[in-house]
Amino acid sequence: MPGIDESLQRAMAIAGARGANLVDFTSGLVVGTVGDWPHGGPDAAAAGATEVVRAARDNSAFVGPERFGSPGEEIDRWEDIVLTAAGRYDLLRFLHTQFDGRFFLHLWLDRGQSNLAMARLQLGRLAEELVLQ
Amino acid sequence: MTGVKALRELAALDATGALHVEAALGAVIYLQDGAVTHIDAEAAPGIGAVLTASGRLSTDVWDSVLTVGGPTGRVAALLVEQGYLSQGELELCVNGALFDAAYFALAAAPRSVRFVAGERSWFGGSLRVDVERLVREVAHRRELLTGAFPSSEFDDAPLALVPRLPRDQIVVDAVRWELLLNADGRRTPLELARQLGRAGFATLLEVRRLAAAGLLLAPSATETAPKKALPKRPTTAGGPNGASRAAAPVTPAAPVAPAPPESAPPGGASAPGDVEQIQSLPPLPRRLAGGRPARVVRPSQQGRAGQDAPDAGGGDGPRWPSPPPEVLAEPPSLSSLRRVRDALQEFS
Repeated sequence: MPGIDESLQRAMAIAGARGANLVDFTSGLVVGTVGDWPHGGPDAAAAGATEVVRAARDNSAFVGPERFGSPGEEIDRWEDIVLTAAGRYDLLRFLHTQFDGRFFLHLWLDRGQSNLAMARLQLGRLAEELVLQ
Repeated sequence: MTGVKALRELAALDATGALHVEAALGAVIYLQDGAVTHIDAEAAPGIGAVLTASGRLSTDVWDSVLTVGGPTGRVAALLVEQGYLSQGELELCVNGALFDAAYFALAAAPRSVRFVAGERSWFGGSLRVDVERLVREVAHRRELLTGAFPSSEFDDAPLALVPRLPRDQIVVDAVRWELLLNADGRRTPLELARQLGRAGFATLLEVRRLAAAGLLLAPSATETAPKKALPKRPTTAGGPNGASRAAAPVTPAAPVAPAPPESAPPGGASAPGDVEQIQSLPPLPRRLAGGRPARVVRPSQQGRAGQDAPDAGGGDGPRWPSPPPEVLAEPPSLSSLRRVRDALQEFS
Protein backbone atom coordinates (compact mmCIF):
# COMPACT_ATOMS: atom_id res chain seq x y z
CA MET A 1 0.00 0.00 0.00
CA PRO A 2 1.36 3.38 -0.99
CA GLY A 3 2.58 5.98 1.46
CA ILE A 4 2.64 9.72 0.85
CA ASP A 5 5.91 9.82 -1.09
CA GLU A 6 4.97 6.96 -3.36
CA SER A 7 1.57 8.50 -4.05
CA LEU A 8 3.19 11.79 -5.02
CA GLN A 9 5.60 9.97 -7.34
CA ARG A 10 2.67 8.21 -8.95
CA ALA A 11 0.88 11.53 -9.37
CA MET A 12 3.89 12.76 -11.32
CA ALA A 13 3.41 9.87 -13.73
CA ILE A 14 0.05 11.35 -14.82
CA ALA A 15 0.43 12.79 -18.34
CA GLY A 16 1.47 16.45 -18.23
CA ALA A 17 2.11 16.54 -14.47
CA ARG A 18 4.63 19.16 -13.41
CA GLY A 19 4.32 19.28 -9.62
CA ALA A 20 2.46 17.50 -6.82
CA ASN A 21 1.95 18.64 -3.23
CA LEU A 22 0.23 17.03 -0.29
CA VAL A 23 -1.08 19.83 1.91
CA ASP A 24 -2.55 19.99 5.40
CA PHE A 25 -5.03 22.82 5.01
CA THR A 26 -5.36 23.34 8.74
CA SER A 27 -2.53 25.80 8.21
CA GLY A 28 -1.32 25.31 4.64
CA LEU A 29 1.51 23.02 5.69
CA VAL A 30 3.31 21.02 2.99
CA VAL A 31 3.31 17.39 4.09
CA GLY A 32 5.04 16.12 0.95
CA THR A 33 6.13 17.58 -2.37
CA VAL A 34 7.64 16.58 -5.70
CA GLY A 35 8.29 18.28 -9.03
CA ASP A 36 8.56 21.83 -10.10
CA TRP A 37 6.86 24.70 -8.26
CA PRO A 38 7.64 28.04 -9.86
CA HIS A 39 6.85 31.31 -8.07
CA GLY A 40 7.92 30.72 -4.51
CA GLY A 41 8.21 26.94 -4.40
CA PRO A 42 5.88 24.35 -2.85
CA ASP A 43 5.26 26.35 0.35
CA ALA A 44 3.86 29.34 -1.52
CA ALA A 45 1.75 27.08 -3.71
CA ALA A 46 0.38 25.29 -0.66
CA ALA A 47 -0.42 28.56 1.10
CA GLY A 48 -2.24 29.85 -1.98
CA ALA A 49 -4.18 26.64 -2.57
CA THR A 50 -5.14 26.54 1.10
CA GLU A 51 -6.70 29.99 0.84
CA VAL A 52 -8.77 28.80 -2.11
CA VAL A 53 -9.92 25.75 -0.17
CA ARG A 54 -10.79 27.74 2.93
CA ALA A 55 -12.71 30.32 0.95
CA ALA A 56 -14.71 27.60 -0.78
CA ARG A 57 -15.37 25.71 2.44
CA ASP A 58 -16.68 28.79 4.17
CA ASN A 59 -19.22 29.37 1.47
CA SER A 60 -22.61 27.72 1.54
CA ALA A 61 -22.93 28.18 -2.22
CA PHE A 62 -21.10 24.93 -2.82
CA VAL A 63 -23.23 22.47 -0.83
CA GLY A 64 -26.61 20.92 -1.27
CA PRO A 65 -29.37 20.91 -2.25
CA GLU A 66 -30.58 18.43 0.33
CA ARG A 67 -32.59 15.70 -1.27
CA PHE A 68 -34.97 13.58 0.71
CA GLY A 69 -34.01 9.94 0.90
CA SER A 70 -30.52 10.25 -0.52
CA PRO A 71 -27.39 9.90 1.57
CA GLY A 72 -26.14 13.45 1.97
CA GLU A 73 -22.59 12.39 2.60
CA GLU A 74 -22.21 11.07 -0.92
CA ILE A 75 -23.77 14.09 -2.58
CA ASP A 76 -21.91 16.76 -0.69
CA ARG A 77 -18.59 15.00 -0.28
CA TRP A 78 -16.15 17.24 -2.08
CA GLU A 79 -13.91 15.58 -4.61
CA ASP A 80 -11.85 18.33 -6.15
CA ILE A 81 -11.45 21.96 -6.99
CA VAL A 82 -10.30 22.51 -10.57
CA LEU A 83 -8.69 25.65 -11.93
CA THR A 84 -7.94 25.97 -15.60
CA ALA A 85 -5.84 28.50 -17.48
CA ALA A 86 -4.60 28.72 -21.05
CA GLY A 87 -1.33 27.12 -20.05
CA ARG A 88 -2.08 24.96 -17.03
CA TYR A 89 -4.51 22.97 -14.98
CA ASP A 90 -4.55 22.86 -11.18
CA LEU A 91 -6.33 20.02 -9.44
CA LEU A 92 -6.97 20.09 -5.69
CA ARG A 93 -8.16 16.65 -4.60
CA PHE A 94 -9.51 16.18 -1.08
CA LEU A 95 -8.50 13.21 1.04
CA HIS A 96 -11.28 11.90 3.23
CA THR A 97 -9.86 10.21 6.29
CA GLN A 98 -12.12 8.67 8.87
CA PHE A 99 -10.03 10.23 11.64
CA ASP A 100 -9.64 13.99 12.01
CA GLY A 101 -7.54 15.33 9.15
CA ARG A 102 -7.63 18.16 6.64
CA PHE A 103 -5.57 17.15 3.62
CA PHE A 104 -5.65 17.64 -0.12
CA LEU A 105 -3.45 16.67 -3.03
CA HIS A 106 -2.48 19.52 -5.32
CA LEU A 107 -1.40 18.53 -8.82
CA TRP A 108 -0.57 21.03 -11.50
CA LEU A 109 -0.23 20.07 -15.13
CA ASP A 110 0.99 21.47 -18.40
CA ARG A 111 -2.25 21.95 -20.28
CA GLY A 112 -0.72 21.20 -23.69
CA GLN A 113 0.40 17.76 -22.59
CA SER A 114 -2.49 16.66 -20.41
CA ASN A 115 -6.06 15.49 -20.52
CA LEU A 116 -8.08 17.06 -17.73
CA ALA A 117 -10.69 14.33 -17.48
CA MET A 118 -8.08 11.56 -17.38
CA ALA A 119 -5.89 13.42 -14.92
CA ARG A 120 -8.83 14.01 -12.62
CA LEU A 121 -9.80 10.34 -12.62
CA GLN A 122 -6.24 9.19 -12.06
CA LEU A 123 -5.66 11.63 -9.22
CA GLY A 124 -8.94 10.60 -7.66
CA ARG A 125 -7.99 6.94 -7.72
CA LEU A 126 -4.63 7.77 -6.23
CA ALA A 127 -6.22 9.79 -3.43
CA GLU A 128 -8.56 6.92 -2.61
CA GLU A 129 -5.73 4.44 -2.46
CA LEU A 130 -3.76 6.66 -0.13
CA VAL A 131 -6.48 6.55 2.54
CA LEU A 132 -7.69 3.03 1.72
CA GLN A 133 -8.84 1.24 4.85
CA MET B 1 15.19 28.35 28.72
CA THR B 2 12.36 28.11 26.23
CA GLY B 3 11.46 24.95 24.41
CA VAL B 4 12.44 26.46 21.09
CA LYS B 5 15.91 27.45 22.28
CA ALA B 6 16.55 24.03 23.78
CA LEU B 7 15.30 22.35 20.65
CA ARG B 8 17.59 24.41 18.43
CA GLU B 9 20.59 23.56 20.58
CA LEU B 10 19.74 19.87 20.45
CA ALA B 11 19.30 20.04 16.68
CA ALA B 12 22.72 21.66 16.33
CA LEU B 13 24.21 18.77 18.34
CA ASP B 14 22.37 16.13 16.25
CA ALA B 15 21.04 14.89 19.57
CA THR B 16 19.02 11.72 20.12
CA GLY B 17 16.72 11.59 23.12
CA ALA B 18 13.69 13.22 24.69
CA LEU B 19 13.20 16.86 25.64
CA HIS B 20 10.80 17.08 28.58
CA VAL B 21 9.01 20.42 28.65
CA GLU B 22 7.59 20.98 32.12
CA ALA B 23 4.64 23.37 32.09
CA ALA B 24 1.06 23.58 33.29
CA LEU B 25 0.36 21.28 30.38
CA GLY B 26 3.66 19.62 29.61
CA ALA B 27 5.11 17.90 26.60
CA VAL B 28 7.83 15.49 25.56
CA ILE B 29 9.63 16.06 22.27
CA TYR B 30 11.54 13.08 20.92
CA LEU B 31 14.56 13.62 18.70
CA GLN B 32 16.72 11.39 16.61
CA ASP B 33 19.95 12.74 15.15
CA GLY B 34 18.69 16.28 15.70
CA ALA B 35 15.34 15.78 13.94
CA VAL B 36 11.99 15.55 15.71
CA THR B 37 10.38 12.12 15.47
CA HIS B 38 7.42 12.35 17.82
CA ILE B 39 5.78 14.71 20.31
CA ASP B 40 3.47 13.97 23.22
CA ALA B 41 1.74 17.15 24.33
CA GLU B 42 -0.68 16.99 27.19
CA ALA B 43 -2.83 19.77 25.71
CA ALA B 44 -3.33 18.07 22.35
CA PRO B 45 -5.18 14.85 21.60
CA GLY B 46 -2.57 12.22 20.79
CA ILE B 47 -2.60 9.74 17.95
CA GLY B 48 -4.59 7.31 20.07
CA ALA B 49 -7.32 9.83 20.85
CA VAL B 50 -7.55 10.88 17.21
CA LEU B 51 -7.86 7.29 16.00
CA THR B 52 -10.24 6.01 18.66
CA ALA B 53 -12.55 9.02 19.12
CA SER B 54 -13.22 9.02 15.38
CA GLY B 55 -14.07 5.34 15.48
CA ARG B 56 -11.22 4.47 13.13
CA LEU B 57 -9.82 2.07 15.73
CA SER B 58 -11.55 0.59 18.73
CA THR B 59 -9.99 1.35 22.10
CA ASP B 60 -9.41 -2.37 22.55
CA VAL B 61 -7.30 -2.49 19.41
CA TRP B 62 -5.40 0.65 20.34
CA ASP B 63 -4.76 -0.61 23.88
CA SER B 64 -3.48 -3.95 22.67
CA VAL B 65 -1.19 -2.38 20.08
CA LEU B 66 0.09 -0.03 22.78
CA THR B 67 0.69 -2.91 25.18
CA VAL B 68 2.58 -4.97 22.65
CA GLY B 69 4.39 -2.23 20.73
CA GLY B 70 4.85 0.47 23.37
CA PRO B 71 7.76 -1.01 25.33
CA THR B 72 9.76 -1.58 22.16
CA GLY B 73 8.75 1.62 20.37
CA ARG B 74 6.99 -0.27 17.60
CA VAL B 75 3.44 1.05 17.82
CA ALA B 76 3.59 2.70 14.38
CA ALA B 77 5.00 -0.41 12.74
CA LEU B 78 2.43 -2.69 14.38
CA LEU B 79 -0.52 -0.52 13.30
CA VAL B 80 0.44 -1.10 9.67
CA GLU B 81 1.83 -4.64 9.94
CA GLN B 82 -1.31 -5.88 11.67
CA GLY B 83 -3.46 -4.20 9.04
CA TYR B 84 -5.17 -1.74 11.38
CA LEU B 85 -4.15 1.26 9.28
CA SER B 86 -2.89 1.68 5.74
CA GLN B 87 0.54 3.18 5.30
CA GLY B 88 -1.06 6.34 3.91
CA GLU B 89 -3.44 6.70 6.84
CA LEU B 90 -0.64 6.23 9.32
CA GLU B 91 1.54 8.88 7.69
CA LEU B 92 -1.30 11.38 7.46
CA CYS B 93 -2.38 10.81 11.03
CA VAL B 94 1.15 11.00 12.39
CA ASN B 95 1.91 14.15 10.43
CA GLY B 96 -1.22 15.88 11.64
CA ALA B 97 -0.63 14.83 15.24
CA LEU B 98 3.04 15.83 15.34
CA PHE B 99 2.52 19.39 14.16
CA ASP B 100 -0.55 19.72 16.35
CA ALA B 101 1.40 18.62 19.42
CA ALA B 102 4.31 20.85 18.41
CA TYR B 103 2.13 23.92 18.61
CA PHE B 104 1.32 23.26 22.26
CA ALA B 105 4.75 21.94 23.19
CA LEU B 106 6.44 25.10 21.95
CA ALA B 107 3.74 27.69 22.65
CA ALA B 108 3.78 27.37 26.41
CA ALA B 109 6.27 29.19 28.63
CA PRO B 110 7.80 26.19 30.41
CA ARG B 111 8.78 26.06 34.05
CA SER B 112 11.80 24.06 33.00
CA VAL B 113 13.11 21.89 30.20
CA ARG B 114 15.10 18.72 30.69
CA PHE B 115 16.79 16.51 28.13
CA VAL B 116 17.12 12.77 28.58
CA ALA B 117 19.73 11.53 26.12
CA GLY B 118 18.94 8.30 24.34
CA GLU B 119 15.29 8.11 25.40
CA ARG B 120 13.17 6.89 22.51
CA SER B 121 9.47 7.34 21.88
CA TRP B 122 6.95 4.62 22.56
CA PHE B 123 5.44 5.28 19.14
CA GLY B 124 8.33 4.68 16.77
CA GLY B 125 7.59 5.47 13.15
CA SER B 126 9.76 6.89 10.44
CA LEU B 127 8.72 10.54 10.41
CA ARG B 128 11.61 13.02 10.75
CA VAL B 129 10.87 16.73 10.97
CA ASP B 130 13.53 19.40 10.80
CA VAL B 131 13.52 21.59 13.91
CA GLU B 132 13.55 24.87 12.00
CA ARG B 133 10.61 23.73 9.91
CA LEU B 134 8.74 22.87 13.09
CA VAL B 135 9.52 26.24 14.68
CA ARG B 136 8.45 28.08 11.53
CA GLU B 137 5.19 26.19 11.38
CA VAL B 138 4.40 26.91 15.03
CA ALA B 139 5.01 30.62 14.44
CA HIS B 140 2.81 30.48 11.35
CA ARG B 141 0.03 28.82 13.32
CA ARG B 142 0.23 31.49 15.98
CA GLU B 143 -0.21 34.11 13.24
CA LEU B 144 -3.22 32.25 11.91
CA LEU B 145 -4.87 32.36 15.33
CA THR B 146 -4.16 36.06 15.72
CA GLY B 147 -5.42 36.70 12.20
CA ALA B 148 -8.68 34.90 12.90
CA PHE B 149 -9.31 36.71 16.18
CA PRO B 150 -6.63 38.75 17.96
CA SER B 151 -7.52 37.88 21.57
CA SER B 152 -6.75 34.58 23.26
CA GLU B 153 -9.44 35.12 25.90
CA PHE B 154 -11.59 32.25 24.61
CA ASP B 155 -8.79 29.71 24.20
CA ASP B 156 -8.69 28.47 27.77
CA ALA B 157 -12.17 29.35 28.97
CA PRO B 158 -15.16 27.02 29.07
CA LEU B 159 -16.87 27.24 25.73
CA ALA B 160 -20.30 28.86 25.88
CA LEU B 161 -22.50 30.19 23.11
CA VAL B 162 -24.61 33.29 22.83
CA PRO B 163 -28.29 32.35 22.79
CA ARG B 164 -29.05 34.19 19.55
CA LEU B 165 -27.18 34.10 16.27
CA PRO B 166 -25.89 37.65 15.78
CA ARG B 167 -26.06 37.36 12.02
CA ASP B 168 -28.36 35.94 9.38
CA GLN B 169 -26.56 32.67 8.79
CA ILE B 170 -23.34 30.79 9.35
CA VAL B 171 -21.68 27.86 7.56
CA VAL B 172 -21.16 24.80 9.73
CA ASP B 173 -18.59 22.13 8.95
CA ALA B 174 -17.83 19.01 10.96
CA VAL B 175 -15.52 20.56 13.56
CA ARG B 176 -17.75 23.59 14.05
CA TRP B 177 -20.79 21.34 14.39
CA GLU B 178 -19.17 19.34 17.15
CA LEU B 179 -18.06 22.46 18.99
CA LEU B 180 -21.48 24.08 18.79
CA LEU B 181 -23.11 20.88 19.94
CA ASN B 182 -20.80 20.39 22.88
CA ALA B 183 -20.32 23.95 24.09
CA ASP B 184 -21.74 23.42 27.57
CA GLY B 185 -20.13 26.28 29.45
CA ARG B 186 -18.00 23.81 31.40
CA ARG B 187 -15.45 22.29 29.05
CA THR B 188 -12.66 24.31 27.47
CA PRO B 189 -11.88 24.07 23.75
CA LEU B 190 -8.89 21.81 24.36
CA GLU B 191 -10.83 19.51 26.66
CA LEU B 192 -13.40 19.20 23.90
CA ALA B 193 -10.69 18.60 21.31
CA ARG B 194 -9.23 15.73 23.33
CA GLN B 195 -12.60 14.14 23.88
CA LEU B 196 -13.73 14.58 20.29
CA GLY B 197 -10.41 13.46 18.82
CA ARG B 198 -10.11 16.72 16.91
CA ALA B 199 -6.73 18.37 16.44
CA GLY B 200 -6.09 20.90 19.20
CA PHE B 201 -4.89 23.68 16.94
CA ALA B 202 -7.73 23.21 14.46
CA THR B 203 -10.13 23.40 17.38
CA LEU B 204 -8.57 26.60 18.72
CA LEU B 205 -8.66 28.14 15.25
CA GLU B 206 -12.33 27.27 14.95
CA VAL B 207 -13.00 28.76 18.38
CA ARG B 208 -11.29 31.99 17.34
CA ARG B 209 -13.43 32.10 14.22
CA LEU B 210 -16.55 31.53 16.30
CA ALA B 211 -15.40 34.37 18.52
CA ALA B 212 -14.83 36.61 15.53
CA ALA B 213 -18.35 35.83 14.35
CA GLY B 214 -19.67 36.90 17.74
CA LEU B 215 -21.03 33.49 18.67
CA LEU B 216 -19.22 33.03 21.98
CA LEU B 217 -20.17 34.28 25.41
CA ALA B 218 -17.37 36.30 26.98
CA PRO B 219 -15.38 34.13 29.40
CA SER B 220 -15.95 36.65 32.20
CA ALA B 221 -19.67 35.90 31.94
CA THR B 222 -19.20 32.15 32.26
CA GLU B 223 -16.45 32.14 34.89
CA THR B 224 -18.60 33.83 37.49
CA ALA B 225 -21.28 31.19 37.15
CA PRO B 226 -20.95 28.42 39.72
CA LYS B 227 -19.35 25.33 38.26
CA LYS B 228 -22.13 22.95 39.14
CA ALA B 229 -24.96 25.02 37.71
CA LEU B 230 -25.15 24.31 34.02
CA PRO B 231 -25.60 27.47 32.00
CA LYS B 232 -28.82 27.46 30.09
CA ARG B 233 -28.34 25.93 26.69
CA PRO B 234 -29.41 28.00 23.74
CA THR B 235 -32.95 26.97 22.92
CA THR B 236 -31.95 26.80 19.27
CA ALA B 237 -29.70 23.84 19.93
CA GLY B 238 -32.36 21.30 19.15
CA GLY B 239 -34.41 20.88 22.30
CA PRO B 240 -33.73 18.66 25.28
CA ASN B 241 -33.64 15.47 23.25
CA GLY B 242 -31.15 16.77 20.78
CA ALA B 243 -29.01 18.16 23.53
CA SER B 244 -28.82 14.98 25.55
CA ARG B 245 -28.16 12.83 22.55
CA ALA B 246 -25.51 15.21 21.37
CA ALA B 247 -23.72 15.21 24.66
CA ALA B 248 -23.50 11.44 24.83
CA PRO B 249 -20.51 10.76 22.56
CA VAL B 250 -18.12 12.95 24.52
CA THR B 251 -19.39 12.48 28.02
CA PRO B 252 -16.49 10.91 29.83
CA ALA B 253 -17.14 7.20 29.90
CA ALA B 254 -17.48 5.39 33.15
CA PRO B 255 -14.05 5.21 34.70
CA VAL B 256 -12.37 1.85 34.19
CA ALA B 257 -10.63 2.01 37.53
CA PRO B 258 -12.06 2.85 40.95
CA ALA B 259 -12.22 6.62 40.99
CA PRO B 260 -11.61 9.01 43.82
CA PRO B 261 -14.75 11.00 44.72
CA GLU B 262 -13.74 14.00 42.64
CA SER B 263 -13.56 12.42 39.25
CA ALA B 264 -14.92 15.30 37.22
CA PRO B 265 -12.70 16.43 34.37
CA PRO B 266 -10.35 19.13 35.61
CA GLY B 267 -12.01 22.42 34.85
CA GLY B 268 -10.15 25.26 33.17
CA ALA B 269 -6.91 23.36 33.27
CA SER B 270 -5.57 24.42 29.91
CA ALA B 271 -3.75 27.67 30.39
CA PRO B 272 -0.27 27.43 28.91
CA GLY B 273 1.82 30.05 30.60
CA ASP B 274 -0.94 31.26 32.87
CA VAL B 275 0.81 31.91 36.14
CA GLU B 276 -2.31 32.21 38.27
CA GLN B 277 -3.52 28.91 36.94
CA ILE B 278 -0.28 27.19 37.85
CA GLN B 279 -0.34 28.52 41.38
CA SER B 280 -3.95 27.68 42.03
CA LEU B 281 -3.46 24.04 41.13
CA PRO B 282 -1.74 21.27 43.02
CA PRO B 283 1.53 19.98 41.57
CA LEU B 284 1.17 18.53 38.10
CA PRO B 285 1.72 14.81 38.67
CA ARG B 286 -0.62 14.67 41.62
CA ARG B 287 -3.31 16.57 39.80
CA LEU B 288 -3.08 14.21 36.86
CA ALA B 289 -3.25 11.14 39.01
CA GLY B 290 -6.25 12.39 40.96
CA GLY B 291 -8.07 14.33 38.31
CA ARG B 292 -7.94 11.80 35.50
CA PRO B 293 -8.37 8.41 37.04
CA ALA B 294 -9.05 6.85 33.69
CA ARG B 295 -5.55 7.43 32.37
CA VAL B 296 -3.47 4.60 31.04
CA VAL B 297 0.20 4.37 31.79
CA ARG B 298 2.11 3.79 28.60
CA PRO B 299 3.96 0.53 28.92
CA SER B 300 7.18 2.29 28.03
CA GLN B 301 6.77 4.68 30.93
CA GLN B 302 6.10 2.25 33.71
CA GLY B 303 9.67 1.36 34.43
CA ARG B 304 10.76 4.96 34.69
CA ALA B 305 7.90 6.33 36.72
CA GLY B 306 9.81 6.74 39.94
CA GLN B 307 13.21 7.72 38.74
CA ASP B 308 12.38 11.00 37.06
CA ALA B 309 9.52 12.07 39.27
CA PRO B 310 10.77 14.41 41.97
CA ASP B 311 7.52 14.45 43.95
CA ALA B 312 5.51 11.50 42.76
CA GLY B 313 6.38 9.30 45.73
CA GLY B 314 8.01 6.49 43.83
CA GLY B 315 5.67 6.11 40.92
CA ASP B 316 2.53 5.40 42.86
CA GLY B 317 0.30 6.51 40.04
CA PRO B 318 0.21 7.46 36.41
CA ARG B 319 2.26 10.52 35.65
CA TRP B 320 3.32 12.55 32.66
CA PRO B 321 4.23 11.48 30.09
CA SER B 322 1.35 9.15 29.85
CA PRO B 323 -1.00 9.11 26.92
CA PRO B 324 -3.70 11.70 26.41
CA PRO B 325 -6.93 10.59 28.04
CA GLU B 326 -8.04 8.27 25.31
CA VAL B 327 -10.10 6.36 27.79
CA LEU B 328 -12.27 9.39 28.46
CA ALA B 329 -13.47 9.15 24.90
CA GLU B 330 -14.38 5.49 25.13
CA PRO B 331 -18.05 4.96 24.48
CA PRO B 332 -19.69 2.98 27.27
CA SER B 333 -19.33 -0.46 25.75
CA LEU B 334 -20.21 -3.78 27.27
CA SER B 335 -16.58 -4.49 28.02
CA SER B 336 -16.03 -1.20 29.81
CA LEU B 337 -19.13 -1.74 31.90
CA ARG B 338 -17.87 -5.22 32.80
CA ARG B 339 -14.58 -3.75 33.89
CA VAL B 340 -16.37 -1.22 36.08
CA ARG B 341 -18.45 -3.98 37.63
CA ASP B 342 -15.36 -6.09 38.31
CA ALA B 343 -13.55 -3.14 39.80
CA LEU B 344 -16.48 -2.34 42.08
CA GLN B 345 -16.79 -5.96 43.22
CA GLU B 346 -13.12 -6.00 44.05
CA PHE B 347 -13.62 -3.04 46.34
CA SER B 348 -16.79 -4.12 48.06
